[in-house]
Amino acid sequence: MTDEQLVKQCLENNRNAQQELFEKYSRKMMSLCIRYAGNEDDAKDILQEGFIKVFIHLKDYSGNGNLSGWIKSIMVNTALNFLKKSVYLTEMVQMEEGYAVSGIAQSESRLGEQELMKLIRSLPDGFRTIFNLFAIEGYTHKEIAHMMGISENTSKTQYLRARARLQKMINAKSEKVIA
Amino acid sequence: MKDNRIEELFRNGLQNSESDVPAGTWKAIENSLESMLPATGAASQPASSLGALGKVIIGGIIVSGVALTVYLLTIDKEITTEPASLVERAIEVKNETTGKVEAATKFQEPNSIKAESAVRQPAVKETVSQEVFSSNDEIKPLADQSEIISTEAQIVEALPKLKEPVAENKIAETVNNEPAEPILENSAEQIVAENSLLPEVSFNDVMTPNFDNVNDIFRVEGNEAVMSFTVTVMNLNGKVIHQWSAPNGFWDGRLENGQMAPSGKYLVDIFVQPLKGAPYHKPVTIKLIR
Repeated sequence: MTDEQLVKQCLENNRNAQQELFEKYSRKMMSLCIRYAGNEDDAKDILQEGFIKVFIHLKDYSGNGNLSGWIKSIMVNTALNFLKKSVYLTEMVQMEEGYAVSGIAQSESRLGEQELMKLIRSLPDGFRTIFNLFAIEGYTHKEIAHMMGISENTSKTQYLRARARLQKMINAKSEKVIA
Repeated sequence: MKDNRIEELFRNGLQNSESDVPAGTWKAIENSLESMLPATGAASQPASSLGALGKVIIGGIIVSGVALTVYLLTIDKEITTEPASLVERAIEVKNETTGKVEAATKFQEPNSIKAESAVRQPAVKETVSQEVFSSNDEIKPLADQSEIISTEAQIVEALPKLKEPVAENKIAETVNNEPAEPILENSAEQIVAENSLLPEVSFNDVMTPNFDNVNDIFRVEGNEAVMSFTVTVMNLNGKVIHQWSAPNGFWDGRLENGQMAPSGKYLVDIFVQPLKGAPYHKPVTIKLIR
């Protein structure tokens, strides 16, 4: 069934169609939620809340653009709302560390999905959120600033710090491999 | 610094990654949806497009299809005098389904059945349904389509239960207790659900920034239906003092230069972007007391 047909049936509140839509996208969205939440328990809550929003607001989905992207943006929004409870702003101010990026080890390109996920999950909430939004979802710093209630500049510097942190972890990993 | 390899690495590695969804997640969603968006169960599409659930309960559909067929045969037997072989076949089929048929057929009003209902279930034995179809010519087709739809909805609902041998009585119960109308006419409930999701922002219109942790800051919160909002705090002359646009933004009662803002009234404009519909401005006044 195409997304278009599926959406039509979901709008009739056909439970089977709604479940099919859920099953079609839930694995991808679960992965996204884990990336933001940093753990499975919270990710499950976000996924649940996000999908309920999806079904409630499906009538507002214009049909233009892809459904996957639309669902994704709802999930990201739900995740950010969830994370606001953990005060990432205070945390950020305290993260005073340099963000000079050194050379990139060759071995990093061999990192698998599991390892990348692990790296992201090990970041503190604030870094993780910004890194997800900018590097993976591809939002601009302007958009991120708006979404998170921080200045564009904060978004940029925090991103670079998050990136440097990841870089450090990756390099440490590859050094270990070499040694 | 212009090196984008980290971004590429993570983006390519993770943007399409998948993770196992904990069991029971759909069930929880379904339960929540029941109060907000009651299922119409308008399963008017063929069983083949029922999706994953359809595949699982296809066995149930077969049973129900056969059930319909048998029932049709039974009515037919009374209306028209059919050859004995057909009745025999009906009994045969009945035996095959080990008695579950009776439970599943109890709720059917004889007039609400159209031969098509049986034919629509693709898994029904070809020969049986053909015979039913031809023998049903005398039954006048039902005019009210909605009754058929709700009948089918009931079938689909009853299906999972058909799998449990002990559930036979339950099916009859559930189905008999269930009036036909509410399944289709839930628009009133839907409106209530929609109203409860109108975009709304909440805030305390008095702030007392004296560091006692009570109303020291002014903040705005949006409900589920609010996508985002922008808050602008101005003095009575309309000069912007502070502005933010995020869930956790706030005003600590300081002027732009960092000095404490004096007691008095302040104008606040809350620009709300709802999840659906057009954005709007909500102008309010707050009181700052020192």
